[in-house]
Amino acid sequence: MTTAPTTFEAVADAIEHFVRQHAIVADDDHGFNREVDLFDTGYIDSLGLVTLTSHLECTFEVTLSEEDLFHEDFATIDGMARLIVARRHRSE
Amino acid sequence: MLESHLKIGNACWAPEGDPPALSDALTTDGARRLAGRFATAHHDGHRVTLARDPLGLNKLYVGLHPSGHVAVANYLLDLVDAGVPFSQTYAVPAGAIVTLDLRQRTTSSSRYRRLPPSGSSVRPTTAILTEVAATLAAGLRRLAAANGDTPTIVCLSGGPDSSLIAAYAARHLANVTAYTYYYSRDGAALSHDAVAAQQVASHLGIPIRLVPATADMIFAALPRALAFGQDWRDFNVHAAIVNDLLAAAIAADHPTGPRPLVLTGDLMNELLADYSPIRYSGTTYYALPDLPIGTLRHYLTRGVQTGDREVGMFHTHGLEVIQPYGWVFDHLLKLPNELPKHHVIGELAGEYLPAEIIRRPKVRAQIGDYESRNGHDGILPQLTRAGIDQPKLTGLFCRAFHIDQPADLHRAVRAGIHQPPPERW
Repeated sequence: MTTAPTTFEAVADAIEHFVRQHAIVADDDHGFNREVDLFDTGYIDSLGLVTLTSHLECTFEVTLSEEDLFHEDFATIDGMARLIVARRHRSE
Repeated sequence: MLESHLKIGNACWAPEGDPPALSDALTTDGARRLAGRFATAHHDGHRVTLARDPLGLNKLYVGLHPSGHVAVANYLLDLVDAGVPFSQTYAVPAGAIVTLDLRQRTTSSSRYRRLPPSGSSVRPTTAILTEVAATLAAGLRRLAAANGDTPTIVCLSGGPDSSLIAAYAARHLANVTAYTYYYSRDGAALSHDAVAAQQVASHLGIPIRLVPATADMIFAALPRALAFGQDWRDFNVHAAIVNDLLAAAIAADHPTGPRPLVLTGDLMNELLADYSPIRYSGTTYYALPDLPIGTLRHYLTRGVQTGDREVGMFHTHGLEVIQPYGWVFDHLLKLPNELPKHHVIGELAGEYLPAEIIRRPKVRAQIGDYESRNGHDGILPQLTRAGIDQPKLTGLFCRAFHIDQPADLHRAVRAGIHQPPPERW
């Protein structure tokens, strides 16, 4: 039985936690939020994206396609959470 | 309308059965039968069908115009030169067949082959490696039959991957010569790699041509490496420089007659994730994502579809490169994650290579053995000392491809993948 978060809020929380840790985002970084473009702002680079997608697939038990990497939602934490929740609902 | 800039030849064959016609690559069943590299496009009425090899060794880029006009190319630069903004360049995914409907301006895509999960085989390792050895031998015999006395060049670094390819080539092909890059400095002894390559060539009984590279040659090759290697990431740019210098020497040595076949030992490092970051002068280069080995093997292999450090570079010198490990990528990816590389090479080499060659520690040509007394400091130290580090390479790449800023580059290429064509355009 899966223990992965399933609600949008829980998924977004988990992604934010991972990105904060991986990108070493300071607590007082007011530019960082769940709607910021992680790529344009440099929080996630190419290597970081590989690590992040691997983490998302493993944690949320979803498969992300190469097309997903370029989905407009995939640039933000909330967008990633939407994609993952939708993908999980589809597979249920 | 289809505007084609496909310049790079296909180098593929069918391990089982007769070689299919190239048009067969445009069907799922046909494409699945092919080993090697190909990128092909076919225009029929208002449809353009595009197919690309399973690893994406041949590049296949697409530019889409709102008018319904489509341009395809192996080199991104050809699309940019044709007026397609880099942000509107797309890549046919590796192992995919893509159909563009010029009337509806829509894209449909299907994957005929995907990478198998790394370390997933339940078969005995020996059985897999026996099959790999048989396929490598069959492919090389097929090349020998198709190419007669055409000279064969093996790019021999002195490491185990290229040494194994040299061993198979020496056994199955005629007229084989090894070419070895080395950084040349007045009065310095040969690099460890070059000495090791000489030993391998001597053991195999094939001649070796040492290709010296000076600092000036390295800097002169950089713009070509960026443009035709189609990558800005330091590791791949540095490797493309090595290949540019090797290719130039091979082409210069064969000004007339049939162009030689060029074999390399590339891809094994991706398939087995035999890479590690390099620490030089207080900075870490060639960083890798922090992933378990099996996952890393998958992502490194998937990333081969972007960047053109071998096929693209050799083609600019009129040379077609063959990467035999690409024929057996699925078998090699399925090998257990914990299997040491020297075991893989040892099993495949059999009696061909002595143990000291198989177990020789890696020294990459683009890095050099700068820590040794010889001071063969290679491409990485040369470029970084001149201030040509990763941000600089990114900037140079952006300038060459008319990309306004790095953020635009990273919108089109992410995690080693160039954006696929959109569903609607």
